[in-house]
Amino acid sequence: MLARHGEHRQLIAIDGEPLRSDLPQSAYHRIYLAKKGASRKLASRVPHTHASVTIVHAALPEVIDIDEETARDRLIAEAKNVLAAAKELHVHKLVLVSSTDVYGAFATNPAYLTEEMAPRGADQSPILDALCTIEKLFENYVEQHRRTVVTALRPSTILGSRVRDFKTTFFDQTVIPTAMGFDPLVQFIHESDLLRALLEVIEKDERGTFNIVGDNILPLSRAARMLGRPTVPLPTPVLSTAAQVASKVGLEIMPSSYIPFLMHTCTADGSKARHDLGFVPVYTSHEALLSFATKGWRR
Amino acid sequence: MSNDIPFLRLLSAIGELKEHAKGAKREILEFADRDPAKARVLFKVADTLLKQFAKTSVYGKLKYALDMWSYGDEERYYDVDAFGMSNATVELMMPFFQFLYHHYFRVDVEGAKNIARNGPALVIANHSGTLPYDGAITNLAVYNNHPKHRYARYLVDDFVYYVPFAGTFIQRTGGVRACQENAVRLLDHGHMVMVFPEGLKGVSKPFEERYQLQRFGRGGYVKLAMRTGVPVIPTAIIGAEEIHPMLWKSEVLGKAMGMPYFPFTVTFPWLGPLGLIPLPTKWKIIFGKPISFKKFTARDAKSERKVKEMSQKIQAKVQSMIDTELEKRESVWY
Repeated sequence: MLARHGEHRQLIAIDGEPLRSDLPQSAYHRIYLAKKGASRKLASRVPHTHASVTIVHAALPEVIDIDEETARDRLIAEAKNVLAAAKELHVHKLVLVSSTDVYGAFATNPAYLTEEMAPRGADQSPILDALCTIEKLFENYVEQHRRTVVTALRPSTILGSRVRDFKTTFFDQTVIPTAMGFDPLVQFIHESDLLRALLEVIEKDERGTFNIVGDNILPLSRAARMLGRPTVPLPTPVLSTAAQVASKVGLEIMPSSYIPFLMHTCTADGSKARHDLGFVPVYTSHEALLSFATKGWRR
Repeated sequence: MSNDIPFLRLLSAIGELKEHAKGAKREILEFADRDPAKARVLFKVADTLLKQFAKTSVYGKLKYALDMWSYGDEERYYDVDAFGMSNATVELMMPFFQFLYHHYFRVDVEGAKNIARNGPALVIANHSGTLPYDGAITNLAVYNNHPKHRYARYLVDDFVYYVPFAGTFIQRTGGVRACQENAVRLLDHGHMVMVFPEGLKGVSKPFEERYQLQRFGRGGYVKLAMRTGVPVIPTAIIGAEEIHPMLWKSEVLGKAMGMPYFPFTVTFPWLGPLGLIPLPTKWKIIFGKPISFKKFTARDAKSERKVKEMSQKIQAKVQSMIDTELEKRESVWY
């Protein structure tokens, strides 16, 4: 979609894993971003003929290592390399794709979290700690390079027919584990909506942080119902042990530090993106979920 | 909210619909040969999904309405509003609380004309009862006495959300966590919001302190009214303070059980679960004349003095309403 939109532009994709999308192979470079020297490698891949370079760093990984501490270190190392490359290239714009999860799932959250509130997720999970740190690193980058436009997008859980990460894995299970007595409200954004938001950010020079969320919220139990998956309510103390055991056995259910998200609501307000970016999601949370539910039907 | 670009939305929805329908058909046909039972299930799922997507076009809307009429209203039933309230839960609990309202507590209402017909408003009332029945019953008093059956939302203390089942239940029945952000948003949405400024101190009032208002918080609700210019309806609830006469409370025991306190009332825990049944007192709810906050601005909310002044004024108003009513009352029971 990005490639189609900007015909006058050149798009380069960089990932440590083999390419899974319909991009031409020539636009793809396989670089392990966490490795030492990745920043130079990354910078060398960008042709110098381009006057303005935009780097979009999608920080949230597809799979989370079983050891979350390692995952955190890797994520931070990746971001540092991206920033080093950005410095070398004198990029015009830096876009970070973070997550609304950085606010953390707390009982004391207001119904809709806004961008002014400080992210509190760092205490909850090493992965969210990494995301918070990365957001800070990007903020610090602005202070040193005032002319660079730095924008951070915080999408809620991304669903769609193509997207795949540890959250879609969670909703893809035959049985969805929940926390007994808790039914948090969840919020989704369709993958194409997130791409549309990215386009807005690439086209416009809008600095700052934006929540990118779909309209409507729904209880987790309702989401499971719409997916046609039975839920297994487990008492909260058992839940964290179960997640740990499952990850040891090799079952990728969910990072055990994400269990608060099964108990407390972490939903964000997308009105800032609406007003400042002019971004209006096409899909509601329900529709994003349905599109995800029917993904297997499209061959 | 999402209808800002209906055309784009419609296009994308129709695109999706066609794609899904095609994919689903192919899939089901493949299955039908091998596994007829599974194919039937798939057909059903496909039907539900198509129904979901069909909602966006005019034809789809008609068909959807027809389907809902014949199949029952599942979407409305299971979905929640922007603050997590579920119509299904409210409807489920309604008969029980209506029974309490009409036959158990035999609630009388005075000043029903003071209930805001429409637009945002704040209901400020005394809190009591060990178990907060007063919230639900006052909510019902608004609902029953409003010509269009207005359903007010109420602000609840944080601790509820840590308690399994209780937090979810309260959210589904219209409770919203008490904080300025939520309250402002509720009022912006035009809701009528019920606040019990005494908070936990009010619910856990010992019996000998009944009908004596505790400190009205830190005046958060006054700041709220000043910022939003929403009228305040002072409300007195008589009868609720005697439903669970509390002799003593243990905070240590409560903490061990994940509750803010553990009550010892006349009936609880001596009678076991039966002790949780409230005493059948006669209730009276008085809605006072709305106090306008139009003349205040957001800047006044920053002035501690002005906030304190208004808070004390409203507290005194509620207290005097309680006192006059208590003088008139002949018995707790009828």
